[in-house]
Amino acid sequence: MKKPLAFDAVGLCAGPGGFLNNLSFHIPAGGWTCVVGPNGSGKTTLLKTLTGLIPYSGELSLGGIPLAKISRKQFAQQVAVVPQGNAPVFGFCVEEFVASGRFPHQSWYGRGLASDPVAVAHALERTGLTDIRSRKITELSLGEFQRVALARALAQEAPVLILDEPNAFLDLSHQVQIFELLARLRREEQKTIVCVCHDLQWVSEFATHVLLMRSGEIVAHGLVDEVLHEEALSTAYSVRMVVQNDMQTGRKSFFIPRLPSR
Amino acid sequence: MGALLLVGVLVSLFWGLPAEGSRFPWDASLIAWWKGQDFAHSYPASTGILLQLRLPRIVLAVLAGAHLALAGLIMQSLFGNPLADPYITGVSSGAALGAVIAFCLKWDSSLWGLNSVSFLAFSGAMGVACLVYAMARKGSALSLSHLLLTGICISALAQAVTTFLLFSAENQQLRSALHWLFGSLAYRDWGYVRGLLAYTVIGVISAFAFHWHLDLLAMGEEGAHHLGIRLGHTKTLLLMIASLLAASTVAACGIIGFVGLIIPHAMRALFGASHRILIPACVVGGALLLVLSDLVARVALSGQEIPIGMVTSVIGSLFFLILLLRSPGGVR
Repeated sequence: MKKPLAFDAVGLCAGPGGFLNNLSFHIPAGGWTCVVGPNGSGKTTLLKTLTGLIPYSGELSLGGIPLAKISRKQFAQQVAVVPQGNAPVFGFCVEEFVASGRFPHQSWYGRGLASDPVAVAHALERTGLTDIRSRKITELSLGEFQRVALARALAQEAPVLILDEPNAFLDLSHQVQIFELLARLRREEQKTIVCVCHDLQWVSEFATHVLLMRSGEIVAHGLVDEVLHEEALSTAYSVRMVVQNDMQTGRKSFFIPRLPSR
Repeated sequence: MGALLLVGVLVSLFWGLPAEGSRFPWDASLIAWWKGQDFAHSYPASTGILLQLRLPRIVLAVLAGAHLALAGLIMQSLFGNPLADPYITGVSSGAALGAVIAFCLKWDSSLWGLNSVSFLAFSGAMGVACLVYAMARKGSALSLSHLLLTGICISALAQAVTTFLLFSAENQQLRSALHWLFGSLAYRDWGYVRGLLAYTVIGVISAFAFHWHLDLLAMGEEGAHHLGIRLGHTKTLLLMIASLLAASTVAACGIIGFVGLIIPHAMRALFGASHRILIPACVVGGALLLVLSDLVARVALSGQEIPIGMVTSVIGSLFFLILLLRSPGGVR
């Protein structure tokens, strides 16, 4: 099992016109940090910065090492990413697509590891894709492709998993499966999980930490109970929000009070 | 596929061979074999045609077909677009401009083993490809959408200049230029084969060395980045390989369309999307299509040749249509 890794940022600026403005945060190793906030608040830009897709200024490190000093391949061995996006236009089969997650572990001349087939089979099994391993990805629904993309990230066997809206396009039962799988990965393999999620209910159920954003800035950052309270959420979403705690189950419920116009 | 190519090469090699004294000129070699004769001794004229005209032409068709199909495959995977072709970065427009300049200047000399038309066509093709690349690149990043749009703009400019030169050319120059622009393998000797062979070796080896990278790029550029590919370097290198393959072919044979578009499609439909299989399949498939097209161009009309580009378009599109109709999910 690989050592869990943390992200640290100090004075981070990135995005068009320095949209992410002077962000400082700590994403703990082995935790599940959800990035939440309204549309256009900079969540995806932040993920793209963490994954080296867009240039940045300031300090950003993974496991204490500045990102600039980590090669692309080394980074891919440490961090697996499930981006938002459509399926490719070319008809790779599901198994080929998932097997491409082993690329970071190959030698420079393309020789893989002996453990590659096991890692791919395990990833397919965990995401419930074994039965459709021979199907072309161009024939899949968006929800099925979302699971294929997650399977590829699992095949990468990286200690950090970054996901941009992993429950997008999924029906309720598959959302539960995916979130429970991620929770198991964090619990059993100490993976660090960073994900963008719009559903506060899922966030309060599964995440350990929350990074609440608005207009490229961090409104609040910390443990779930410290961040998901009415004042911070109302500020971030510019709408009055009510948070109710169930004393018996300890679960939170989020809702917007009945609007005066209705 | 390999066996089909071999049959295609043999048919093309012996079809239409004049057998002195034979009523069936195309099967002179078979007659010689049946009679137990030494072919070269019995048919000296045919042997000359076979070795000095026919064989280099067919080998050139094999190499040019392989180049165009491989360049098309690389471009399609790089752009993540099944409609990309080898000429997407303006290679054909640059080559056409270079060749037409050579025809208009009546420049008749040889440079590094290439005649002036081939030399200027190659220079024009690579010049335009490099210009498009330099204009589309911003720092270390290379945006493929910028590259595509810049390619369209520069191609349009080159085509405008080419049209102006053709418009002001004399009749004989115009005819020669148009004949070249339609593409032809006629009168190509072993010199052309030798010139192209170096690019074939470099192109095929490099493409195969990068088959994993091509897989990842075809699965999506962002995903390829997340799996550890250095996008800037990889895209530059692959663009260079595809441009060299296309430019060297255009310089030797003129502009031959459709091969680079249709063969990668057809091979994907037959063998799947993995480049480990697709690269050799495209090399053989492209070679087969061009050998057969050249045969049709040569024998379809007696006494004259038809442009090979026209034949590749007809054969390629019919083949593609059949594949489309037979495949329930379409060709991808």
